[in-house]
Amino acid sequence: MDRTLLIVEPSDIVRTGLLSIIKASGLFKSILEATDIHGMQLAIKSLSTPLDLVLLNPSVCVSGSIHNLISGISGLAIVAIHHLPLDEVGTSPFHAAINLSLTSAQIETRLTKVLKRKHPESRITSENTLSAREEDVLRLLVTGCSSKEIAEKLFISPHTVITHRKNISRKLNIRSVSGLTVYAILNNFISLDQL
Amino acid sequence: MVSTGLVITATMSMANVVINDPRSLVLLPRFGIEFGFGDQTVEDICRSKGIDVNLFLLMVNTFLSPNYFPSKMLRYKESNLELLLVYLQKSHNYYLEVKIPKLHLHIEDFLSTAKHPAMLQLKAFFNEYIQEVREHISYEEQTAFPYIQLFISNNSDKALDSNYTITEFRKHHSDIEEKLSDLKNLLIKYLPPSSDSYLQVTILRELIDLENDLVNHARIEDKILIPIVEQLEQTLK
Repeated sequence: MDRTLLIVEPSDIVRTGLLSIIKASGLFKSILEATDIHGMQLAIKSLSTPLDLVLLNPSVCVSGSIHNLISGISGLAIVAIHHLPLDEVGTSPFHAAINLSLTSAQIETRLTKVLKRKHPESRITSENTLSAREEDVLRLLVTGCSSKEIAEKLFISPHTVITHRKNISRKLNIRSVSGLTVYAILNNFISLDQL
Repeated sequence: MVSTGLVITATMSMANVVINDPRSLVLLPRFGIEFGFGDQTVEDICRSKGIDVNLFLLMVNTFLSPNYFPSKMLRYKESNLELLLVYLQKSHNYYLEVKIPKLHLHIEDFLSTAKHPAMLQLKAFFNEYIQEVREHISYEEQTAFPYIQLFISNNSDKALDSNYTITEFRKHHSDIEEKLSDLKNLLIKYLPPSSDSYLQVTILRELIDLENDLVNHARIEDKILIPIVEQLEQTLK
């Protein structure tokens, strides 16, 4: 099974323990570790294989950011790590939760359950090449079209244009229109006189 | 950002603080602390400079670690607010007078080594960025800081009567790191190689350094300056 897991847990003891339990289960081929949100973001950016599951200690999230965080990686299965056997009410934004009083077997069962429920298309990939449609959007964007104009020209909804723009920026790691312009010229999507 | 995870305390020797985490180097001139401090502790140096050591620790630790949470609450003093403003102004000067001109020179050099048509666009892009930073800083210095100054100079009535509140400042806090990060990615991933790859390394180092400094700078504004003023607004109202 070539699945990838990311563990986000500040406690070395807990993280190392989980790592060894999960390694022994053979559920994942590669396991990435992070101690905080920043580390998590770096890990997601550096992925070379799709990510299947995140084990996350909710305490690493600054209050209120948990929903932002989760909606930012929507579609991804997230399991909360609680140090105490908490009531499962507090885990609502998560797909499941584990705590320190569980046995190895119980942890394995919970993770297997979450993995089964998941659809393959919800995997986060680090595929960085633009699709043909994204190239169209980029071309129009850097020649000065607004999202609305792009939508009209390509016969798609403005909402779809925004999704394309988000994906372009995520794939290229360039967010500003002027930065995208430099990229577009470098890659011959447009020439200087089209600007 | 790499965090060494070490919390700076009052009894540490200042020399060790700087050696352990060189990112703190750039902070000293902003507090008016000069080098050559021998084995003096953080506390000694703050005392001799008339700096509230708790404020110093709060600022240094907030600058160095994104998740720092102080173990002691800071008591509000006008002199502290003043020190914060001086500090922020000095960092602005550092960006405008040292960092950006240096980066500008390097980028000019770089552009002259490569003939690709995209380079022209890159130049425009960088100039746009400089303009953005200038606007950002001039807003802070001409609108937000004078407002805060009113609290320091015992004119808080005037401040409370004005239409401005510090919440505006928070809103205005636009993301000036965006273009910087774009530039970094363009250089690393997409630009054609220059004949002088050390020049590219130098530019990237400068970019990353400035980017980190700006992020840390914004954190001091968001986590220390704005909450202090918000509290003043509420208690004096």
